[in-house]
Amino acid sequence: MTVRGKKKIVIRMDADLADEFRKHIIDKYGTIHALSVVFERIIKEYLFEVEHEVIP
Amino acid sequence: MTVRGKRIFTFSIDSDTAEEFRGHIINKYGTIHALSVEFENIIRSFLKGRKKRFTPLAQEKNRIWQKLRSIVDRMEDEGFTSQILETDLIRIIKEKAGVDRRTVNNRIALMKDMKIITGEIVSPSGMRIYDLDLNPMNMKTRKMPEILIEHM
Repeated sequence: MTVRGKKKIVIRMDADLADEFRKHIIDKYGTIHALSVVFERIIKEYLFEVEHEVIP
Repeated sequence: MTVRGKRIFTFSIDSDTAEEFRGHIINKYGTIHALSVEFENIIRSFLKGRKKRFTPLAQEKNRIWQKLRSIVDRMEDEGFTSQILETDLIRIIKEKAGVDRRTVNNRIALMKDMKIITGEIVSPSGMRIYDLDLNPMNMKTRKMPEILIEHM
């Protein structure tokens, strides 16, 4: 069954990395409000890669 | 300078993706407590392999940000701190940015809107003194009203 809706995720990240990521989003989209969209895309891409990983 | 410590990020993602990601973490590490660690790794690889492509709106905003940043930087160079007279602000924008009076007014309105100008005192003679927030990090987080972009 498909689970619908949105889930809130809270993570802790190194301040340096967080600042760099935040800057990247603001530079690219002009606003920080794209944060969740970017996170979602990154996770989806990551899960896709994991799923299709070729094990030697 | 290296910024130390941890920052908290809160974001919303599709339940399906969240469940799948949760399952992946538990499978890989045996516990959900590795969530933040795995995220850090993912974001690190993402930033390493990113392609710098900007949307047209972001490009436009960046262009205006850069202009305003250079004005504020020059103001700091000239020794201005948190307060500035209206005449000085107009002079700096006119001289340093090389724009006409109408554009100056638009930029002042924009600075107010973006809260670079954080306060305003008007003297009995009508002279204004602006309180400025010259911290560029604060400026970056402020949303740019699109209608003002057209007037820049």
